Amino acid sequence: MIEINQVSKLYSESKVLSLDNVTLNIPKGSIVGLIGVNGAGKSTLLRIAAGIYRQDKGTVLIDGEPVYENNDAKNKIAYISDEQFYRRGMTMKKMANVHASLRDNFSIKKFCSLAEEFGLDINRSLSGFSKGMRRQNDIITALSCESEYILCDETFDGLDPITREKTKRIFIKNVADSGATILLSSHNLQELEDLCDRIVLLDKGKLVLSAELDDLKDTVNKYQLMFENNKFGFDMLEPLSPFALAQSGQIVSFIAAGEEREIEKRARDIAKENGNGLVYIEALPLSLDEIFAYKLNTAGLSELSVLTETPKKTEEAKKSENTRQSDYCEKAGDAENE
Amino acid sequence: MNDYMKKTLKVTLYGLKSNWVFIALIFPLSLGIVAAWKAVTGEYGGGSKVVVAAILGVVLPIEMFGYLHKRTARDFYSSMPIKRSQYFFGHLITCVIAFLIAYIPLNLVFAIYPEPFGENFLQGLEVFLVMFAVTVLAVMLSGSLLSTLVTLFILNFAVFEIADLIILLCQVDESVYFSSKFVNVIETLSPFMIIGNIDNNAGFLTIFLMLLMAVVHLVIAFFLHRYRKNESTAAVAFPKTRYIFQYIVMFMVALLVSTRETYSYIYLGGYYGEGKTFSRFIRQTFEYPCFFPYSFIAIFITFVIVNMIFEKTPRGVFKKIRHLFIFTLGYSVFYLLIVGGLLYTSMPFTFVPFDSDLVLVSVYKYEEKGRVLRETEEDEFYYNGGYFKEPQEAVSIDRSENGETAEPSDSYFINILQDQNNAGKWYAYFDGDKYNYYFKQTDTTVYAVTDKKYINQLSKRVRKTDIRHTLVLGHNEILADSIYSADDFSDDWMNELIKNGDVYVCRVQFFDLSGRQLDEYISLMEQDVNSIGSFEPKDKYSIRTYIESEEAFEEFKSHAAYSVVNPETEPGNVRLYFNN
Repeated sequence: MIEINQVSKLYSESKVLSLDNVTLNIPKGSIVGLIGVNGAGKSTLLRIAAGIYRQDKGTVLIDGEPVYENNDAKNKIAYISDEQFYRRGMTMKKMANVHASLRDNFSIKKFCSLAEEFGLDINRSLSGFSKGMRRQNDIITALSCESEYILCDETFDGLDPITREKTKRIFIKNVADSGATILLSSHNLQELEDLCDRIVLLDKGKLVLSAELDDLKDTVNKYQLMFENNKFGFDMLEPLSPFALAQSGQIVSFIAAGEEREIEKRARDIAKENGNGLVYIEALPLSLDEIFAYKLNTAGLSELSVLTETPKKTEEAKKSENTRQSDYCEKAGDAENE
Repeated sequence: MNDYMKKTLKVTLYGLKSNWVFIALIFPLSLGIVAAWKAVTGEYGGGSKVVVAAILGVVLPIEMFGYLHKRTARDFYSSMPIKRSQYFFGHLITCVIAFLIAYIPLNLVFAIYPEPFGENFLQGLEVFLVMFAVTVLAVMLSGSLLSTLVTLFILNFAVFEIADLIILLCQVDESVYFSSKFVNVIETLSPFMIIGNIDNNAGFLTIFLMLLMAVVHLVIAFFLHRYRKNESTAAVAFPKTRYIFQYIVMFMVALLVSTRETYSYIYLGGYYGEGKTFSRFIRQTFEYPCFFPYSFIAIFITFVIVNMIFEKTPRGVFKKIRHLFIFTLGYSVFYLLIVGGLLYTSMPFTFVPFDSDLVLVSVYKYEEKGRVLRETEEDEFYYNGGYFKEPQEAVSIDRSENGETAEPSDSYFINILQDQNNAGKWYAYFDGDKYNYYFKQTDTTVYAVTDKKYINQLSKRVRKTDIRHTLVLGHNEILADSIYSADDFSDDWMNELIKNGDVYVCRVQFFDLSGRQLDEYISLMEQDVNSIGSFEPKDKYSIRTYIESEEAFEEFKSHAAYSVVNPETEPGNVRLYFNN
């Protein structure tokens, strides 16, 4: 299990509070997706969990042991960075040898078989690989470490659909075989929907949401209904706490949390009370994007704010940035006016 | 072997394997350096091996620890199950092995030609260890290659510069002072100086101190390596040290330019009769351009270079321009008020930096007889200083195929005579466009003082009193051991004293001898001085002064154990007894 307790991290150079009191437990054998916009703190959290960075506050434990400067704990972890390091003239084979020389559990046999499965030439220079191929190499290397925990930083992001599907398929198969615990970060909710059984949302360094994917999907549904007549107003449905209420012709749709039958019964009751009736009501499954939009709304965060705001900065950093930004905008405005 | 050692060894082997191309090139590189040395100096020899060792001491740690300056590399290595200390020691061992892989074959080559294997072997190793340790420390402090090089500059020269400033403020004679133990110790703290100081004569203390310094550097580097943050992307490893780094470099460069070029004018004087006053400091500071504008230009250039390392764009550099103004103002205040106003005027002119057990004082009297203009350039000069019997009538000598003709001239033309030490001789000194000539009233007498208590008093007087140190150019520069203030000194005033014959000119030499040498010297003093012995003092220090009264002279003579009148050669003849 990975236990992250009240972890905070401040980047002293830029005065950015990258993580703010994050507490998270990742059970063994689970696949956890870490979602958030750029600068939310995903990479920082992964690096702290991998023992690369040291947290300013809090503790990070791998099976009960602190991870930073602990070889036994690090032996259990394979970390796939968003920007992998390759020495000059590195081939896949040489990279494997590096891992083999520095790690205790690296399996060259598994490495070779995975390389064959992916169809990669291990004697080819990595500088000649495409982005997708390099990612595949990174995954092969991580899986060959035979670690109990694999930390992936945007490993599947930016891949074309075909490469992504192939990579994910092989990755999932090997993970299932080994029973490894995965912590995987991404921008793409759909990416995580296929892989993860738990989702964690970070926003401006804070943990906003942590829930089982099935629980999320079970409790939140999208409803479509049609009223008998036009005696209808949106405010009628307020008791259901609807989200994303919309009307297209006579069809009204909204998202609500709650047991499906209960919501349907209440909707019918509301229609009757208002001198109306329901022709039909239907519950539709939601995509993860829609579930998240609903959850953010109920958490008091607008989708817009999550998608557009920058990570939490200290006051000093904000002031400096605002000054630079306004100077730049003013000058651009002046130039355009001329 | 325990797990820790195994992992450390893994790192070492990994370092050797992953850098094998670089390591393999070190030996041919070393041969190239030796060839370049031969091209520059005209010879092979131990010096080239020392240079090779110094260069490898810088290059190897930069290569092996260079991963610390790349974020992706740092992340990669830090994600491995290897502790930082294991990386540190593993890479250290890799560097030493890589060095020996090149250095031992190089020595074997030298064993064939031109020197036997083993000579300078240890010296090269010592130089490597010292330069290696300071470079490792520089890499740990910095975040990029450029900042490593600047940090190396600071670590190599900072202590030396500060020590140099103190020495300059004391107005000591560098050629004498730098032979002293004190300065050797100071220089030891500047790693780069090992290249010049490590030779067959380097004492145990020097070598021990240098190796101790190397160990201290490595210990500090170890802790810096342990505590530096992986997330840092700045040009220094500890971003809070950024301005310290910047200001130290600017300070060192400013000090270097302000002091090194001006010392001969301001610090050592060179101007007869003037003392160390604040007004003189200010006047000469602005008379010569080293403070303004040279050091200001140097500060500006350094500011731009250092900030380019951090900001990476010219715009970024000039956003920090206020630091330049702050520093320039602060440095000006420091230099003018602290260095000039406080340190310069209050530090002793000089001091004897060792415990002396023999003092030789050569005493003679002069009177100035006048000055003459030199001949025009078309005329030939036979003379550039020396003693003669009486003033010669100036002649203009014309040498041609037909022989030599001489015609009277308005100027005096002075010939050189032998036997410079006898009384009744004229001495002329060529000073720019004129000759000053003096009549030597008395023979030179050398007094040997072995009274330790009196020597200590003399040394203390040297430290405390307002004695100005001369340049060792000739006898007309005269120090004053005087009750007069420094402001009273002037060329004319001193000349008046000399003309009136009231002054004994003295050259005082302090020696640090071994007990055996002192005994032998004393026994020789009791005999004919032509029975020359040969001594090599552990240390020597010399100043010029004068004794202004007969009473003071008698008092001094009473402390002298021996005296020799009119020694065969120049008053400094006692150098014959000492191989300087």
